[in-house]
Amino acid sequence: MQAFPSFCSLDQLLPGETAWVHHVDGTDDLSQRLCDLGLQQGVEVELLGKAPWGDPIRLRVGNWRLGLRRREAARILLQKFSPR
Amino acid sequence: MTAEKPITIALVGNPNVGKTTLFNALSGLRQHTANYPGVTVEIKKASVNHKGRQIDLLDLPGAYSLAARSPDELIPTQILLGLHCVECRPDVVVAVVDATNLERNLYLVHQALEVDLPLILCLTMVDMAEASGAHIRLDLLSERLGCQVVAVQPVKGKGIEQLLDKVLEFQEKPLPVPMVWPEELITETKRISGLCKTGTPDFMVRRALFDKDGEAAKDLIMENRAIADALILARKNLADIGFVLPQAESIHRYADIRVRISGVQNSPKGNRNWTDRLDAWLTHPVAGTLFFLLAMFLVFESVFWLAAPAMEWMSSVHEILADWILATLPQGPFTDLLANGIVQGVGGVLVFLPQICILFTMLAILEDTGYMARAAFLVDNLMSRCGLSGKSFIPLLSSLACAVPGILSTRVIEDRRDRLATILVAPLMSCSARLPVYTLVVAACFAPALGHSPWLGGVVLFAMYMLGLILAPLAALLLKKTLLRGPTPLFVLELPRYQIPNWKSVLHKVMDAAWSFVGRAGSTILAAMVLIWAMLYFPSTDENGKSYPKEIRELREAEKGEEALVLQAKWRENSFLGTTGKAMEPIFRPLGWDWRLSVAAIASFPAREVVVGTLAQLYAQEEEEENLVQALQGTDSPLTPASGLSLMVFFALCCQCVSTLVVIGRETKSWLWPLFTFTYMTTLAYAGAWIAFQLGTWIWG
Repeated sequence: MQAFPSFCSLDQLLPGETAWVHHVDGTDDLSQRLCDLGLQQGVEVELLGKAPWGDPIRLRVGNWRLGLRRREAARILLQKFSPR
Repeated sequence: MTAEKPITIALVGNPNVGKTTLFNALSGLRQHTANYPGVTVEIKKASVNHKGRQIDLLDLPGAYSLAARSPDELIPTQILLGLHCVECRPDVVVAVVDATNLERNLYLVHQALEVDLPLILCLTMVDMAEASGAHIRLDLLSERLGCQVVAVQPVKGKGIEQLLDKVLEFQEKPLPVPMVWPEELITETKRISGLCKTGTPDFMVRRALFDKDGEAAKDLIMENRAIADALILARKNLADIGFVLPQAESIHRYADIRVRISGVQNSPKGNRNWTDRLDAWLTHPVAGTLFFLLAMFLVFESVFWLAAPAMEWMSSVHEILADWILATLPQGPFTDLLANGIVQGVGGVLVFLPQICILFTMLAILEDTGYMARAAFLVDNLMSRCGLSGKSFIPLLSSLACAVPGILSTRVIEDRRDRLATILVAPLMSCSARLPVYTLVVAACFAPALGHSPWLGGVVLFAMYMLGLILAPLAALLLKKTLLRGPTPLFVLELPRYQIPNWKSVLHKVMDAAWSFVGRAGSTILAAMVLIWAMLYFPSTDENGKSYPKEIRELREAEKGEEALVLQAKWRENSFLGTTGKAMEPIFRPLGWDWRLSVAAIASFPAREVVVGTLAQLYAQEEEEENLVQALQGTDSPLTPASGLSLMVFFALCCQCVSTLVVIGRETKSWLWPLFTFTYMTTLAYAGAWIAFQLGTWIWG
């Protein structure tokens, strides 16, 4: 455990790296959709891979797989240590 | 027993949970697709008899949330809230849930539990969850959620009877409210309820609060305009205490779901499974792209080559049928209409049925295995550069076979503007009906026998395909920058688990597509063919009042074949279509066409494949392509390389297909868009053909 929380946005994750959702930024359609899909605080996400030209990206969210554009992924803020 | 009212059940659930497979297992083949005016999405319906009671089934499109974000998701919301224009609220909700992904799937269930309808939770893929080590305690889940839980395996038919039993048993059981909302939300709900007409349920008010501009809010505001302000105020009050909508709904529900399912299953490991291992290859920037290109190549090869024998057989059947009718029935307009108008015309279109069936089989397999989502993932970057998303790729690709299934497959696109842009440019892709036109003109104008390079024909053919492939994305970009301008749509794409396709579900999709195609051939195309026939047949007497068909028959009987053909040509020329063509000739002269090419082009507006037959008839030759090619190569032929090129470009770019226009009308629920498509494509075709003629004249003189 680190002494202070280290945040990063989902688009900065490296392939194979795991982190935990802290919150989704904004109140628009995109953030509501991501929240509805269960991108809630504490959910584990892993960057599985990238499409040609590095966009969109492929994620594991808990137990299912999601494709997102980098611009959309940038709205999801992560913490790099397990909250549980 | 029979006097009892049928029970209506609605199947709701996330996409890719096996909802349609369950529906197919429940209904067998007794189902039909309901289409409503003003709605782009279809609802599948079926009726079954269980223990003497009629049960009506509604298969609703997949949704992640009642806070609807796409036309697909609107349907479950409208039906569960009782706001749908046609369908009533169901008596029982069957919530289909993927056992391997309980938490996310239960979100929609959590919302649906509140709408005061009996709900039965139906778990699918329990075997898969067990295999990954996640045992689910059904009794505990049922107790925690306060609803009945059934595990089903639709493919094996397991649990189906049990599910129907529960529907009969629990159709009238009231439901406990599963969620304790914050005190402030309850207060605000009560305040707004006071403004609504009496009897408005609390869940309606809560949905109105949660979904700004949602269906529930619209419905309440329509009754009392003061509610609009009350909702805004309530949302503000709630935000002040930290309940910030819209996220607060999901935060509270997910927190509640986690509490309720703790201990129900031993926590599933999010380990890499074989879907991930396969995806490491299939979505790899290099290996995945190569596989994708190979898969697309195989799909289209199979569409052309597997369908060829069936198409030849079908086309010989209608030729034989037409000949038999001409030989057997008494001569006269009716026989001619039957043989040349209906059998040849509609048959000429039905010939494409094998291609449609094979294409849809391939697409259904790609979709049911889960690969389609990967294809969309791979090409999204490329497609986003022309203002579309990865989800538009498959429809455009399908349009290379036929625009009709291509347009039908745009239903997976959530964003209205994206879907519309895809629909409007899909007819620009060179479909299989253009191929006969291209081959005919290439053979007549660019054959090596005419002194052209042996490569030229292939190059011209390739250029025709490239024309559509380049112009369609450009047109989409233009549309997205002008008429369909709007915010960049979301690309939030679930990548479902790979699975072996269920042949029943594939068969259902193929049959649906085949029937709607046959239905169109039997209506629109039939009408167009009869019209074309009539315009070529009448007037059937010459200026002296002599009957053309009678004279031709007499000449044939006197073995004066040549003269009969000349007379036939004269008849065509003087027919309504012929005179129209002559009147239109000045319009088409800049394209290098004479009246015969003009007539052929005009006659081909209902269906472009008509052109070959029309030219054959106009050149008074037997309807065999080799003879037609020779006639078109002849010295009196209007078809030079330049005019041939302009004809091909015209056919490549023009929307000469009534079926496509009808489908666009049906899918966009408006006559404006087919009209727009027709206008822009005809303009583009005319301009393109003019440029092609100038270019051709410059190259070949």
